[in-house]
Amino acid sequence: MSLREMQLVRRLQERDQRAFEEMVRLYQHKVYNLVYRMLGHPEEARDVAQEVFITVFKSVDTFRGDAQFSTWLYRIAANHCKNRLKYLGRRSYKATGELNEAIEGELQQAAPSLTASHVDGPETTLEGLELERLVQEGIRMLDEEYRTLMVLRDVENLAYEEICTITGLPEGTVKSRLHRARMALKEYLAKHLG
Amino acid sequence: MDHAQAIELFSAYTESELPPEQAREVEQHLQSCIPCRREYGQFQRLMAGLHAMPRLTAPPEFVQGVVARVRKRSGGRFFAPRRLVDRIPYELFSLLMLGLLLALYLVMHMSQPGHLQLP
Repeated sequence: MSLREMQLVRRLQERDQRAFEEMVRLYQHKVYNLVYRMLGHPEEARDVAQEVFITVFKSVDTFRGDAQFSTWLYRIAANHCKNRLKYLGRRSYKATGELNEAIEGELQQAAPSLTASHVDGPETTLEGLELERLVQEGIRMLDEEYRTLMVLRDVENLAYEEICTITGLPEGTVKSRLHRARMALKEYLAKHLG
Repeated sequence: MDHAQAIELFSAYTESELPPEQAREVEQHLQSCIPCRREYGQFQRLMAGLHAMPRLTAPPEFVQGVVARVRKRSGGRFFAPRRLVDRIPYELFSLLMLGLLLALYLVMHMSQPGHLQLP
């Protein structure tokens, strides 16, 4: 942990409001981006991201400094997303289980089928915004456990070691689940982009 | 190396996590297998799409929103030094309970037959 982080944590533990504001200012965009990519909805993302910082402030006394402060923050954010997704899932928020069925299919077959329907479309016709929209939509259709890994690794570009600390999963599990999620999302894109 | 084996290694290959020999096998398979090459092209497109996703920024007034939420929820107590009365003093309760149990034990022990009873 850097000296700056250590000082910030100490001031947070002393209930320094300015330290709290500094911490929120410092990490707001990282947390918001992560939460948005996990939930796919701006209002939900803002609400959950704010709750993440409240949890950080409430539980900062339990932070031991074993990991980076940002890793601890990401863990809290991931847990908040998980809980919100469960809550929203009970309220039928999720659009479809299409991709999770694809993952289940992969688990059974060990590898996806190669069919004539999966032909590459011309790359030049792909608009960046359309691709982004489809990727975000695809991420939203993944189960939480797959979604978290994909966002942490492929969107946030975190190292595997950090992802293992955040999720509490062994590296092998992280990698195999991530690969399944990528393959499912690849199929989803191929289906929608041609 | 067959299709299934090659496809299982796409992630590790893309992230340069394969030993050189295995990476070469994947490359050789991709050169000779058109369906796998197509699959790998789609895979690369996905990875490029994921990495190119723009970094979103929190909405304006986000910081003030969090601070206001903290103040509202805690009645202003969050930004004040913690006092003993702000939480249940479990340590004090534990000590009191231990003292009570010790006193109870001593009373029971002293009142057992065979012990000298004080007048």
